[in-house]
Amino acid sequence: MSRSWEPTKTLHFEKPCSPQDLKNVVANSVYIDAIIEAESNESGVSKEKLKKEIWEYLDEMAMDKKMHVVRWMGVVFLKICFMMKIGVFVNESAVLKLKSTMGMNPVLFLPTHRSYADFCLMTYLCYHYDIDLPAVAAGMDFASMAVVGQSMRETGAFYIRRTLAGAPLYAAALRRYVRALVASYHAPVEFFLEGTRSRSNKSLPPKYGMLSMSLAPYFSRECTDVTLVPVNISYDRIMEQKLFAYEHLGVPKPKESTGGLIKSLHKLNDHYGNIYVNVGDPISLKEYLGDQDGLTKEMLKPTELQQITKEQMTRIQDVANYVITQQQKCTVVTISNLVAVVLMESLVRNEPLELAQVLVKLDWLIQVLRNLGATVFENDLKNNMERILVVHKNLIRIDRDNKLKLVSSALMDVSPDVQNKMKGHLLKAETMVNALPIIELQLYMNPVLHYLLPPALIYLIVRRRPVYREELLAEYRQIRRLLKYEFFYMEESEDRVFSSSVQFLVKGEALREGAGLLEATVPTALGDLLQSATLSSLHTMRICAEHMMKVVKCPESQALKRVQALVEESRAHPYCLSLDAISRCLRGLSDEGALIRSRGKQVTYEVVGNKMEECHRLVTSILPNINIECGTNNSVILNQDTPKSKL
Amino acid sequence: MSPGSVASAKNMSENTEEQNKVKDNLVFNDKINTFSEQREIKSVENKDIDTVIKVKSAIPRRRQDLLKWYGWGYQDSTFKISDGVAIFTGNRYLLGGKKLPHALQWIKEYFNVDITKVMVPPPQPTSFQESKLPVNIKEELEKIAPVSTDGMDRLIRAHGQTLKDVYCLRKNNFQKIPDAVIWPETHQQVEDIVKCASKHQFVIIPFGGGTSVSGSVTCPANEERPILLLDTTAMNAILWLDKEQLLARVQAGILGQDLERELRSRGFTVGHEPDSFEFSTLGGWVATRASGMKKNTYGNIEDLVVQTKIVTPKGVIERNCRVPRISCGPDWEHVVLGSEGCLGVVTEIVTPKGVIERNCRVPRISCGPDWEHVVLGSEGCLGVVTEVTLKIRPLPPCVRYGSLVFPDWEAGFHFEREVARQRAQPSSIRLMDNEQFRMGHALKVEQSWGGVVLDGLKKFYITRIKGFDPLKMCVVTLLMEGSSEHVARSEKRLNAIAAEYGGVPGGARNGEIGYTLTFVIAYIRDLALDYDIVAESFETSVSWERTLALCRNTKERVRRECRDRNIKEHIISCRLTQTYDAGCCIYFYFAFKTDLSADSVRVYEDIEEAARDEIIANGGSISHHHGVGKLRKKWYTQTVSEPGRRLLLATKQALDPDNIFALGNMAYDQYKADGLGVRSKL
Repeated sequence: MSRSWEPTKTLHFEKPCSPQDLKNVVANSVYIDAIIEAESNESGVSKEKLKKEIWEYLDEMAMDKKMHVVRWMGVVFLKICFMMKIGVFVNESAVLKLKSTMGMNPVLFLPTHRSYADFCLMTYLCYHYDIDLPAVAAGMDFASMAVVGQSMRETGAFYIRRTLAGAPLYAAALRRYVRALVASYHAPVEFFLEGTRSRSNKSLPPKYGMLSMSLAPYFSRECTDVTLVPVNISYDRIMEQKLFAYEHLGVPKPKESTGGLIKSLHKLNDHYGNIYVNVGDPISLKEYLGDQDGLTKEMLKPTELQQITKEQMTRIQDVANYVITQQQKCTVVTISNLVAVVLMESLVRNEPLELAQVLVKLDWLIQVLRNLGATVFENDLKNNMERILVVHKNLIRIDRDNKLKLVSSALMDVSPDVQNKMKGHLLKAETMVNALPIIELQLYMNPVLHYLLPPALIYLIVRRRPVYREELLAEYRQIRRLLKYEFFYMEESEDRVFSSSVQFLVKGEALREGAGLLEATVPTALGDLLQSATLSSLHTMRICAEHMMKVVKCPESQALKRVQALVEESRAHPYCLSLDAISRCLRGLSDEGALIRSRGKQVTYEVVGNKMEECHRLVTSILPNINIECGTNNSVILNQDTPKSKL
Repeated sequence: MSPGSVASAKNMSENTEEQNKVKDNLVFNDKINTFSEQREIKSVENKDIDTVIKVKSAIPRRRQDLLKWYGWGYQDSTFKISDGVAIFTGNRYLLGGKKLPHALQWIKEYFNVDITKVMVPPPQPTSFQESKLPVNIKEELEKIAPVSTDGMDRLIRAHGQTLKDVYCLRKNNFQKIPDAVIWPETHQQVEDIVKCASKHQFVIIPFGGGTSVSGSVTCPANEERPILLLDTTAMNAILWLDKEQLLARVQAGILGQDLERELRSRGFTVGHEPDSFEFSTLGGWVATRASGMKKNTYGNIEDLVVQTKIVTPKGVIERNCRVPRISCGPDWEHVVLGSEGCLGVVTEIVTPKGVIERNCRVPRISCGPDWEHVVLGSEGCLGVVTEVTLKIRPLPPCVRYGSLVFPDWEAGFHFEREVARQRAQPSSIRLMDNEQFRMGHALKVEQSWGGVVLDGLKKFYITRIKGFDPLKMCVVTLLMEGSSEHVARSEKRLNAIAAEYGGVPGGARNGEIGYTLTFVIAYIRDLALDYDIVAESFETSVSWERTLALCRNTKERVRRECRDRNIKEHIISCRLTQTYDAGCCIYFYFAFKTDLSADSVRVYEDIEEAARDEIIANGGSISHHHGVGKLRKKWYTQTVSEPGRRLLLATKQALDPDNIFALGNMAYDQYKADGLGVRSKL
């Protein structure tokens, strides 16, 4: 920690900017001046007062990197990693390559966001590889945490409010600050394109605001290029796994506080397995956009007042989507994911597997995923299986008969206080007991679904009845669009994905093609896998559609509750209880034109009759007819509700 | 005295020799004069003959006798490497005949060259494209003014000074050269030539000093009509000089150095000194919207020109009053300023449709549009500028050089910005980046031991005491003119502003070196070509706030383009040469190691195009003073907008419907006689 530290910088300035200088640059900028001028003119508030307000915002958001704090935090981080028995794996060659090309233009780190641990990981990685610590965008909720808020600031975090609506002055200050951070500061900038931790462990559609602010200096040519680095962070075990599962069911997330953090520290003294940081190929914005974005009328304005044009915004959205797909491409499939897929299938089929069978199945699954282009970091299945059983000992276990089983959660009383805050339907305790572990399991299955989904949908459509390619493509596209909020994808690459998926299925002997007509073969292991992989999302879609057809019009909050209730009554997959999944299905339906979404005080959906029927027909026709046994009826679930003997 | 005037003064003494050498030529001229005697008398009769000052030009009609036919400048002035030391030959410039002991070391820093290679000037070509000018037309033209169809005469006037021009020249492989050259001496002769062209349908290319770097005088390859090159340099008389009003009426073919020498000898100056001013002409300045380095005191050409006369095929454009300013726009003289030869010839500006001349001489007029402004920058495509009324100024009693050293480019830039903000500019103020600063030092001549000690002390002060990094520091060169009190006051003020930005005075000597560089830098290109280094410059103007990014990004783009092409040895450098209230002019120099071939010319052009794309993307302009010509056509319409392009073609339609001045510069190549070059949408 006392070594001299000369980190690689993203830009070289004659006079490097300190964090304090940066604030001055923003506060004294032409842009802020112009905004204050206009605002003062309109509202009559004096300019001095508005300037003071800007300074307050700047103090609220700005980072305050201090070297000694960085050094101390490095030590603390290491300590915690030891405590959590975490191993961190990094594709070092990619990092070193990236490092060697740094110094010419700003660099944006765009990692996936699955856990709070993401915040520290990139920073620690940069610390380790002697790259200047990134300025990390964090939500305002952290800023108010005692000590932690400040020390994050001092390791380079800056804070942004979740919404800019209704605060034009704040929005201006932030916009200018981010611009200065990218163009005039010598460290990488890091933020999460998805905007929030993905509760489902899947990629979320990107948010564009932060990206457009950070790319503004490119469009005004304050910098020659911007390097975008997609990063995927995959976990063996996510710290927040339990919390997320509760959130899916509607139990609210606790407020971030230092007290809460300290309380949670004891939980850290446990096995958390490995973390895989996969740094993707850097994307040169200039190369990606090509040269055509040259002259716009905006160039006639002073540099600082130059705004992003409509066309540029479209391009930015395109870049953002592309980055998300690159993050997906970097996914490292971990042993947790593999076991989750295998266990989920055995759960759906109600057939417990012996450890030896599991290992065979895992081996086969790795092959399937690799054929689909996935990166599977796996070389010693048996050992890793043992390791993961320790890491996930509260979720999966080998029982006395040497069979792999899911552990149900303990019965718990939901206090009336929490009941009041529940977002969804009040679920029965028995439901929760089984739903919680199944949802947790699904969380580990989700990161590989983007590989399985396209062939799965194709397989399901063909399985219904033999079909010609064109019809297949049309139906595939429609169902893909319906599920677009659940499974992010880029429209542009769909043709390629479709044909390679068909090829994969034919090669895997799940389909055969004759004279253009595709038909399913006798049930195969691959077919079974694909069916169980898509079961929950299609079923959620179907129940949503059916509910909306019945009520015709209702507010979103009510729809969520009712659909949850319907799922509880039926024998659907427990993941269908997920509020997150339900709301994403509703949005998918409204984008497809089956629902009309209106935003008043609250979001309301209204059915468009024939379109909804069409969607419902399609989903129902391909949905596999599988009912799931829960609780004691399911032989794969290991019941835990027998009270432990207390000594 | 400025190096320019040093050059001019020396030229004066040598002139007589030159004139003797080319005596045969003059005799030839006399013969011709007898042919056109009557016309001569006719054209001069309504002018006050007594006021006309006949000027003996420093450069003879057979240019190749004095100037290098294969490159830039005088034959006797050239960089040479002998015995492992670089020298600059001749005695025309400050560097003349001196050894440059630091030059080779500097070159080696950037390029791996074989200095043992001995260079001999390429032999003059002997075979030329045949002249297509029909004999009857030639005879008719000979009755107006001297005509030559000699191959060498035509070849050396077929080009400007772009890299491609020099390449084609050395290889003698122009796609097309003019079919004949004509040397009119009067406005009337130009009118007659243009009328003859309209009658027989041949093309006229107005030609001044041939220093264009935009490809504007290049013959369009697809032109099928005969091409007559109208060399204006015989029209070099000063028609009258008004010491009271500080105005002079000058024929447009006069060379910059001739004009300046004549005026200086009478105690005046025009003060317009573009880097090419030894060889370029007044008409050329008008036709390309030229800018001189002392524009802060004297103004750019559009500020200097009071009145012009332009011959177009449809008649003469001339504002018929002589006033300092007029509110009556558009100013059609401004149309010709920069028409790049496509409209007609500047004495007035002779266009195929007649002569453009503003028919009054008043300081300002409110009557637009100002047609003279249409001529400014018309790049010869509308007509021939034949006569220009220019502002002149009394010679300043005191001229002083100065320099300021800054720790880095940004500090120097902010200093320049502040000087412009306070409007405290001296006649010239230029910021050179580190590469040019060091290049300037490489061109330092051998010194006496006293000079060495002094230089050592200065260097010690700047690098050791002030702590400037020699690989980062930049220099601002200053040229101050005026009364001695004015100069002293100005110097004090500039030093005070410099101190705020960390600058320290660097002495007059460094300043003078900087300006010497201005005139000799063009010679370096020829030397570089001999050693397989291709070098070229390009410039732009840009608003202040975008300047730093533009310089950084353009340099970076050029470096990247080189990397992509695997060009390892190269240098890209820039300087800030002019300041305005709202922005500045940036001048880039770019050189890379390659042999001179069609391929490397194309590589250079590709890189320059990429650099220009980058400049424009960074908010820079298509050109500050080089003009559009053919090289920068691609960006013309987006610069002036579509209605602007249509207006341009409409001007052509009005002044030169038959496209006599078919130079095809700017958007004029899209001109079709029938419909403004706009394809019907049906």
